[in-house]
Amino acid sequence: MRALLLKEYLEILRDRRTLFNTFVLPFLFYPAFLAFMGWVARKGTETYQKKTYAVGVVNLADSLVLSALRQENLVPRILDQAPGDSLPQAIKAFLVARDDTVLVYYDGADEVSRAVWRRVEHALERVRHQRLVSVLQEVGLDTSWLVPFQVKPVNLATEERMASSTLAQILGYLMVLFLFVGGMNAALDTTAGEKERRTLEVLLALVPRRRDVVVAKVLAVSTVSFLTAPVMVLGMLLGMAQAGEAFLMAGKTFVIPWGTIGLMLLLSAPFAVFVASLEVAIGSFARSFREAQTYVAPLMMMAVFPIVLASLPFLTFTGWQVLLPVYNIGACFNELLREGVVWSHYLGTFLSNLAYAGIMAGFTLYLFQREDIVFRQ
Amino acid sequence: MPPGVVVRNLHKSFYDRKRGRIHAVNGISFEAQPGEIFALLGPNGAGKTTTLRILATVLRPDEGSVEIQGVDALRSPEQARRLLGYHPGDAGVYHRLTPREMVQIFGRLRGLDAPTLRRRTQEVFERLGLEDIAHRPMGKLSTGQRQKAAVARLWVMDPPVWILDEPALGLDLPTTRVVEDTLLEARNRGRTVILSTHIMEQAEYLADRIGVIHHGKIVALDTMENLRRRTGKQRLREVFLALLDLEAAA
Ligand SMILES: Nc1ncnc2c1ncn2[C@@H]1O[C@H](COP(=O)(O)OP(=O)(O)OP(=O)(O)O)[C@@H](O)[C@H]1O
Ligand SMILES: [Mg+2]
Repeated sequence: MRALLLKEYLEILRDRRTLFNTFVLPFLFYPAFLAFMGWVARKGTETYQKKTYAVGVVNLADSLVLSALRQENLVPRILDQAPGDSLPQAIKAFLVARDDTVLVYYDGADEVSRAVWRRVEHALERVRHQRLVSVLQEVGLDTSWLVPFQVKPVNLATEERMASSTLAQILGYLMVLFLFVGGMNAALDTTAGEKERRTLEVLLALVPRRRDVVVAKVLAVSTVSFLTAPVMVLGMLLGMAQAGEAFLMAGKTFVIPWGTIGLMLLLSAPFAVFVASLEVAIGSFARSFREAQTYVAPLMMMAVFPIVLASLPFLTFTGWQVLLPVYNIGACFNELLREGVVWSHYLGTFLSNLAYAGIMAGFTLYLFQREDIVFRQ
Repeated sequence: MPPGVVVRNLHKSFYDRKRGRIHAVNGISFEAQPGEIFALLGPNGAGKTTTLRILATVLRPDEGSVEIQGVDALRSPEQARRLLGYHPGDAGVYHRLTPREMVQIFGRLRGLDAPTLRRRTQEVFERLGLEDIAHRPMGKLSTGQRQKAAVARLWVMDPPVWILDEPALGLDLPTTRVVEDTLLEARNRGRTVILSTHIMEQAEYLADRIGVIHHGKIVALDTMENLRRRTGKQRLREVFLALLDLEAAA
């Protein structure tokens, strides 16, 4: 068994893909990517907000309206005819006064036009208010009751708690995701890859008990998942902090108690075995590494769904949900990070993951005994 | 002393969605003695690999029996595995391991103790000229070097029964010769060697007896000399084709 494990670990350690996925992607690539995306998004909204657009105005040469539009960074163009079915070139919205109504034409399929419409709405709202005020003043009425009270929000959360709540949302999510991803490559390589290279048959002809071969593979993949996931998460977090203001929580310190980290790792162990068994099973079923990859893609999609669901803040983690595989660990991480440990949830999740790990490992063992599966053609 | 390998009436079929049921092995029987090289000679798809995989306990037959050194390989595969070594032709090495690591790991899996393993590795690597590349990952080696490493693995384990699937596939002449000499030497040490090939010359050079396999059946089983006599042909390829025709006629 030790020799089998040695073989598995040596292979994994030498595998550039696994090393790349563990160190290069989360430490360098993803943060850079996220920073870039953040920068693009920020730039996009900034230019949006500042940019001036032209709006057509018909029948409405009211100086109050025109200046209100200008205040919203809109350039009014006085025209003498309403548009037909579409907006004229370079004009993003169109105001037409008719009796006591102002018709605002805009293109709902155009994002810019929609934004311009919102600005027009603001401007007109202000005009309406000003008109009201001036009419009231003319008759000598007090206008202060038009705005009976002001609203001012006061945020009680400390920066740390703000950061933790954001963190809870992504950290639990990342951890579960990386437990899936961390061992994936190793799992497919040691199964489908070995089939392809025909090393698997050499191993099966040599090792007296077939079970030992599978157990070594599942163990090796589990340890890889278990060890690489926290490293990848850490890499991501450091990277995000590095990425600076582009990212939502930069500049704020967040503290996770060591106890929470310990509990998270403890819970990761049975889950890693569950995931590793599943991945080894898929790899054993596939005829080649490539085929295995095509099976894994939809699996990842299916896995991401419950993980995302679990990280949503408005879903509460309650009793029977500890039985839902994948979802339960995501929800449990989330709860740990947000509110601290709820022992009944934690133990329930731990035990159900232990059970799922056992069931999945048993299934993988069974699959491996079936030669029509392992030697499919 | 029990015979090295006894194969009786093996059957193995696969189910293929497109082709339906395929009788890859259709009633094969033969025996091979210690100190003998037995070659399964046949065209593509004849059932060579499937037969050897069954002998190596990798696949289970639908019917029939296999004895390895008197051990029933179907009832006690664990025991049989201790008596045989398997080499799947042009592949079967780990690209991220070095020849030395692979041989060490497989030697340990076979249960060799550390000093014996070290001594034998040294010896075999010297004999096969592998010392220079012993520490290079096999992914970076040539086909021939990889094949030699795979043969070294078998040689270091040196089981009583050697099973090799097309051991010279894709090799140049000098490397083929090194592999062949290793097998001849194993035979001289009393090992039972079973190999498959589709190359007539190789069967003639190596094998004491040849089983010509076609469509999962052994159509002729004899020494090369007798096969020549039977077909009345001299040139090897003519002998081979004549034997396959015999099957078609039958
Ligand atoms: N696992 C499998 N599933 C389905 N069909 C198979 C499987 N293994 C072998 N076959 C089929 O059984 C037949 C015999 O195959 P086998 O690999 O034993 O032939 P071979 O003599 O080794 O041929 P080659 O010279 O091409 O290596 C072929 O038709 C092959 O397609
Ligand atoms: Mg073959």
